[in-house]
Amino acid sequence: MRRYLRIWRIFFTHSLIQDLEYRLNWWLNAFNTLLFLGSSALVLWVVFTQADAIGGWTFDQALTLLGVYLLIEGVTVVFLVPNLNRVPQYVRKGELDYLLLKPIAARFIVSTRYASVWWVPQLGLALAVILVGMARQGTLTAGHLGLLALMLVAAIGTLYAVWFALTTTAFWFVKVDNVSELFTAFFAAGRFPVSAYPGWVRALLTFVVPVAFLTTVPAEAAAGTLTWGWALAAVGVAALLLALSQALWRYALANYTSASS
Amino acid sequence: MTALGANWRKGRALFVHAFASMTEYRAEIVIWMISGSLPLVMMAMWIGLAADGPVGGYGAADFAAYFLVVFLVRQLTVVWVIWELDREIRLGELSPKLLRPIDPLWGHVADNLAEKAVRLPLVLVPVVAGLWWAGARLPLTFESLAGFGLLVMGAWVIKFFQQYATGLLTFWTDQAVGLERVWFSVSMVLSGALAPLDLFPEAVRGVLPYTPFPYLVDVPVQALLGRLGGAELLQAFAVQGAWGLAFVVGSRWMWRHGIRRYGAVGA
Repeated sequence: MRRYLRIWRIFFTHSLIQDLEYRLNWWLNAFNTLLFLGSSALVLWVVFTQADAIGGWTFDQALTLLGVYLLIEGVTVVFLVPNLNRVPQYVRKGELDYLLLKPIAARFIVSTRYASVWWVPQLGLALAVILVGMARQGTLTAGHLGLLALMLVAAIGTLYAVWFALTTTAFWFVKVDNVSELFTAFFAAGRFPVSAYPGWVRALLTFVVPVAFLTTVPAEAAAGTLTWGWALAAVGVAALLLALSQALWRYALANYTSASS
Repeated sequence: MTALGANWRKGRALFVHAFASMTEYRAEIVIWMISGSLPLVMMAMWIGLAADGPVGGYGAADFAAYFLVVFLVRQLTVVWVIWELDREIRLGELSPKLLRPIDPLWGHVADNLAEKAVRLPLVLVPVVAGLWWAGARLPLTFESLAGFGLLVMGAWVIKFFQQYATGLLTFWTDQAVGLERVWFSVSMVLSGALAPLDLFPEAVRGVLPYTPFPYLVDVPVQALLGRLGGAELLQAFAVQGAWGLAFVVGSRWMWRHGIRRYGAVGA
């Protein structure tokens, strides 16, 4: 475990050094995140001039949810996209052979080798929005923060498991480079609480594409309205999906017949 | 042979070639279509809000009609030329194109229009089905259809040449794609793709007609929904045309100056 942490730190430092070549990009991305936040807040404002609540959520609760959305999206862009988008290429060009030869778990290298450090400002800004939202709701206590942290970990676990499993299908379908496009399309629904949508959309977002567990559940934890049943469900879903994705990965590796030899 | 005839033949050859290669990307085009579905998410949210009665004058069916047409307009004006220019200029792939006796612009135009020809039938099916399912009826008159057609073309011209100009910035900096992201974030909201512009606060609504944004989505949509009268349509054509012309002239000017700085990496 300690060894893996050390290796991850080396990977991250490497990405950091590489990205520092493009410092202007860092500022552009920070500016862009601010703009995104401003425009999303404008949309929320437009919505709340027409209604008192969306799906039973107040403005402050919806703002906190926006922070959670930004945070999860930021984690995706910084840690998941640069790694998992490379998997189809590893398989197609047979580069996976070299990764399998390394004396650490191949899944670990595939998932952590790169990081887009440029987008780190988004993570900080997202946390700030969450904290401001919680302060305005008066729920900024250690208990709520602890539950929020746990739900965020579960959300990231769920997200990673789903994306990793979709990427693993590259072993059979090869051309799955567009997985991230599809994900972004569905994840966009996460900028509002699932209760804001008509019933069948809500069911779709909870049981088919688990967007509800990515943003609505953590934001409910921050608002102090999360029930224990949903909290347990979030952890259970994350654990189950992680286990399934690991099984799929092992099955894929067992059937892997290298493109290069 | 007349110059006009020669140009017609060149244009047709470019288009036929582009169309043949785009039909190979049918599956990808469907995925790209889905990736532009944010307006449909917003539609679901607004319909949820309107469940207990109209919101800002829009009932559930009105929101469905508005956002389905928004989806249609955005699909018909999708532009990705900046990614091509960014790659061609940075990696030197532009060099062989400069040797041809035709401006590289036309190749990009042909690619984009050919892709639209493939995409149009794929887009119309879900939009028409959605409108029918939501019980939204469009008042299809000659005025609304013709106005919509012209305004969509105008929106495409603005988007294409705005992105072409931003892409040409790669001659001077390698951050053009970042700038395009900034433009995209702003235009998503201010074009009306996330909320109908007439629901915006007064202060914002007063400034918007002087920007190019409403003419990219909201104005063409309102035209098809039959909410624009003859005089409003004419005014929209004039302002949209002026913005389109500005971006065309600006991007041509940038091309002339930028090409002198071209380093032809890898040549």
